[in-house]
Amino acid sequence: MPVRGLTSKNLLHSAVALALGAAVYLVPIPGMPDPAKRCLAIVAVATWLWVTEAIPLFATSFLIVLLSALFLTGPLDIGVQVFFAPFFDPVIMLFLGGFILSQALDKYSLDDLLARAILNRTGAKPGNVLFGMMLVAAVLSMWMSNTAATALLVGLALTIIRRLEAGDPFRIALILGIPFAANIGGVATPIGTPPNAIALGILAEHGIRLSFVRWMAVGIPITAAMFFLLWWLLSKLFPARTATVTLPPVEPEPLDRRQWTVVITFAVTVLLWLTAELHKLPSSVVALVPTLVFTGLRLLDKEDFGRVGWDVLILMGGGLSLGVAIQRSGLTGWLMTLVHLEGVNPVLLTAAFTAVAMVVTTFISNTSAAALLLPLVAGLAPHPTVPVLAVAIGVSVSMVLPVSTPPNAIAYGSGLFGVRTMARVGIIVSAAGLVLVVLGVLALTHLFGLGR
Amino acid sequence: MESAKIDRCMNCGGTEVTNLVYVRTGEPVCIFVKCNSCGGFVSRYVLSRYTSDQPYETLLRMLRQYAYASGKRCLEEVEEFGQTVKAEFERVQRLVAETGEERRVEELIEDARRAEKKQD
Repeated sequence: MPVRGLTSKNLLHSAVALALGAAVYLVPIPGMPDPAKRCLAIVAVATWLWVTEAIPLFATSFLIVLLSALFLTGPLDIGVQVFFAPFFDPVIMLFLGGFILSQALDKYSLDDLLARAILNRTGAKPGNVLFGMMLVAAVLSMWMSNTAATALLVGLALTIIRRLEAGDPFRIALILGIPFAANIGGVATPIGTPPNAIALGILAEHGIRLSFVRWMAVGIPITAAMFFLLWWLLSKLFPARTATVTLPPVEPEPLDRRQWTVVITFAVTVLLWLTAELHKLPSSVVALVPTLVFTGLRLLDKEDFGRVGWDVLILMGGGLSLGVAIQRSGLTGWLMTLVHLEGVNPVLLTAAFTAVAMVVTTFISNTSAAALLLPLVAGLAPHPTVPVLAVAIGVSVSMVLPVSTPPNAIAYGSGLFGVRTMARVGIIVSAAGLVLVVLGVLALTHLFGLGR
Repeated sequence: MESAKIDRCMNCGGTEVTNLVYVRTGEPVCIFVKCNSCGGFVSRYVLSRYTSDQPYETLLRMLRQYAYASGKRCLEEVEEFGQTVKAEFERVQRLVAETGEERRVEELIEDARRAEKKQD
């Protein structure tokens, strides 16, 4: 039986990655300091591996730390802890808290209850049902992983789809609306999707700290605008042939004590996150509340804890560690001597960075794209907040292909539509997303005084 | 080591059985197998993972507990899942027909464990 992943193609890609790193280091680049060159070689290795996924994405994070420890600590005269520390950066703790909340919501079926509660109120008009499904997907993915929210909603949507005629275009509206809404919803909160947290971490490395609520002040309006655009688009492109569609009714049962504990803890945590500017408790510290309550009261056991997306957290840690390497090695400083962006129009600059990021992430993981691009964007841009936010949000709203995001992949697995159908809608949404994200981030950061 | 056999009632030798699925909060799901001929207890299985005849929907249930970083990886798993289950089912049916396995299930499990230890 072949060992999964240990294919000659993957081995070749791994060898190419290392050879590429060595080549980058050995090729003479005039004026480039030695540590920056070493770091550029590490970036080259990480890029190749993150693009090809020859080794798991999180394994590349470990490799980044190993290479940084071997090749950067000496020339920079710094300890290895500099590269290890990002793996327990406050944003990693914040995201861990989000994963813990997500596990508890799923284990005690509260996500399902919330979904059914909202869908029971949408009525039977197809447009309203689509709106309800997308709304639940977007709202849940603000707090849960986009994958989990999509899996739940696609499961519910299938019960509706089975009752529709085989050729009813509304089936496609439902099945496409869910992953796209989940991708869009993830943008709204710092814990919605990993690129958001990476952006916060990278900005913090540059001395810019954004609170939970300030992220939402930018994220929510962009999410709302894209949500309504998507809903309108899907309703027009895939109109229903029937006048009514319904979800089979389920009798609501009263919540038990454990479910109430989860609901109250969830509410308190969100409230503390939203009011952080009043009580001054960092959002990463607030994330300890659900973590402690759920594990301490054994609402989540060892197996549940093991199911937390540790690989995602390690991947994020690797991205932040690479950011530290890029900054400390002087790579961004050297790049800035080549590329002078001081006088460039901020709209054009943000649009260019975001467009590049959105194209890149169509083919590679959003988190990897954010991990690779955000440190460079933050280093190069004269005022990093706007481009960093735009790139972080942009990678999440780029959703052309099934491989672009895990929610897209899940919906595609239903077999209800082909790649061309997804791409047709995805291209329109992504293009509109580029405009909305760039203009939205510029306007909202200006409005809330965040635009450094 | 690989084998497969038809679950058989030790009491009357019957192979017509009914699966009784027992679900308790906080406990693993158990399947009690009942003989259709004599009504006796045949065996009990403790479930680690369930897959229905609609593998995609089973996968959706599993994915509710996961966070993926890679769309590519997620798509691979989605595409492989149903095919793997179907292929395994066909293989097991072939094995049952070809091997005519007579050992008790306990012996099969023990032999598989021994073979695994040897590999280690």
